[in-house]
Amino acid sequence: MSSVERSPLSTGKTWSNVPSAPHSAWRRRLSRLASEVAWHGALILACAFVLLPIIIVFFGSFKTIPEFFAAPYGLPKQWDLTNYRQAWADANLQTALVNSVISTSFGVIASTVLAGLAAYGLARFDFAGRNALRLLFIGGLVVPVQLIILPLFVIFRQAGILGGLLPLCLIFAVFGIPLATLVLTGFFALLPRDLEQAARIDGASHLEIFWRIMVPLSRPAIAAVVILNGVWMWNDFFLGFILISDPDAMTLPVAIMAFRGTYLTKWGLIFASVIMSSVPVIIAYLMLSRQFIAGLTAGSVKG
Amino acid sequence: MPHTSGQPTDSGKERNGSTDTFRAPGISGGESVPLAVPHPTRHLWSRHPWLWFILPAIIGYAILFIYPTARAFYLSFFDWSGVGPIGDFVGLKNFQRLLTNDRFWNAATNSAKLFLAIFILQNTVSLGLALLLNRKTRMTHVYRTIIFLPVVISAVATGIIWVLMLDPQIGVINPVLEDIGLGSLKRGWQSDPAWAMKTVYLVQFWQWNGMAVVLYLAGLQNVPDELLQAARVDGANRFRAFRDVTFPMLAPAFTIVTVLAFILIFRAFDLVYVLTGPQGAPGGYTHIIGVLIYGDAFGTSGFSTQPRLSYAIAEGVTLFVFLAGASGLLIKALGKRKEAIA
Repeated sequence: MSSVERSPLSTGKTWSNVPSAPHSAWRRRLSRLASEVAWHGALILACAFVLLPIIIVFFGSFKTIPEFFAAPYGLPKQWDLTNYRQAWADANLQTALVNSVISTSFGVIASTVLAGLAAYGLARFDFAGRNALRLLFIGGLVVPVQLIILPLFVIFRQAGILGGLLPLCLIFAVFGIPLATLVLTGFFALLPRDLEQAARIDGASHLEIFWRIMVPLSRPAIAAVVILNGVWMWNDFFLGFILISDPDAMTLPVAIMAFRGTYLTKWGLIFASVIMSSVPVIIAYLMLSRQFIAGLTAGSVKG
Repeated sequence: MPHTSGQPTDSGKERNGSTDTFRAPGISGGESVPLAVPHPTRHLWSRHPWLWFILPAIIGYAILFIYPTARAFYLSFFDWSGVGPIGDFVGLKNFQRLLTNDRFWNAATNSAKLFLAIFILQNTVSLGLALLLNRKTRMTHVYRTIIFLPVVISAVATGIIWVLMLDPQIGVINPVLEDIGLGSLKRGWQSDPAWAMKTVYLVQFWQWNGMAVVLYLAGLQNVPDELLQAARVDGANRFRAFRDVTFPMLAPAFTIVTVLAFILIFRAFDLVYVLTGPQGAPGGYTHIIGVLIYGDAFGTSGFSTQPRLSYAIAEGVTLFVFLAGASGLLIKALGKRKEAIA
């Protein structure tokens, strides 16, 4: 029970010195073992809930149509890459991959630069209307995309650029601003002012202070912003779905849904395309899981 | 905007860097000695250096965020299909129509149910997993990494993955049930009105559980060990220590998890669209507000194939007002709870 009552027995080191110990120490160990097993058991169950569907889709990506009926959750008969090759070609995944890389990197870089500059202005200067301005940026988080995309659709149509990749890039660049501003303003505000003042006495301009001092000191926050915005832009379906009609401009999620629409029952191909589109983000996640988890939760912790 | 100047530490030094207005050295009264008549805009920049930093973001944000939002409010007062010239001004008629429309309330109710289901699951399953993970062993990191994994997978991939689980033809769950002797439970999970929405809860939870677990875990790690030990010394059992020490200190994490789920779910589109299509199959049982707006705007709703852009925009405006108001209230209410405990 409480830690006061704990005898040396519970440490497991001195039990042999105590005459009456072996029996109760054995029981103690047993109950500790049981709780250990229960602990692993519960967490393994949770992990199975996460992993089983992914594993089954991975199996499915190698199967032929009859195999889905013959062995719904079994291993595929062969591990050759027929489905992958065909899906890669038919779903235009190569182009889609390039489009996803272009739109996501443009969106991430542009929104981080824009929001980084703005966050410095908002966090390090006092001026009337500062809080209102900050609220204006961060308030963007509660604007539903469904609302804002409709007038934008009309605007892009009038401008004659609807259907290609450009509107998506522009929207990513701006829609990334609210979260990035939230995270970076919070971080910049916490940095000590001494360095900045010293630099200013040395004659550094504000832009130099921003670039030489604030940016290097804020690497963790910037990484968080890049991951946070990068993941949603890479995974976004809705915006691309509405704005892109040209097959050569489709991003991965849009291309896969289009592919699914035309190859309704060619399950193996669809699952192969799902696996291929998820591999980059899963590899990045497994390599940098700590940064991903810190990054994806950073926006919320300060809010 | 009133042009109150610069920062508190405004020393004049910083002006030298970027302008041609110089201060005479040694004069502290702020009397600058212009070498030439300063250009009025340059003067503005030098007096308000923050403008340089904020302006690029403001311009982009104004064009592609604020203007469209304002435009949406404006268009919601008109009758417009989305093509051709904007139709008649109809005042609040779009809002009146949607508030008396069963499809709107059906979708709003489904979104609310989805939020409620996720809210319950997050505060039982996710919180429980966070409590389990709140100890340092070699496996903790592995478990946490796996549990968080679905958060980084796209909604399109998640939706398709779960179609393979639930599908009546190639689905995995039905054959598994049969093979373990529970064949009587087999059903068309996504076509049965009683189960369709529950499968949406399940898949939504699969995707976002990791986020709640990690946020709760971060909250738990802020609970000082000494406090818990002190409670145990005072004779509190595990449950009471949790209720009286850990739980109150989880208040900030609870606020974040709840508000985040609220905003995510009422704006949701991708996952539910992939799972049950544009009309919330079967028969609107899984129609949620985000999918409804899309369908009304582009004419893929079952009710009518006519796009009604201005009406859809009015639905979007309603959702926005609701989200802004409700998340404001939520944050305020939950913040108060935190204060009451502190």
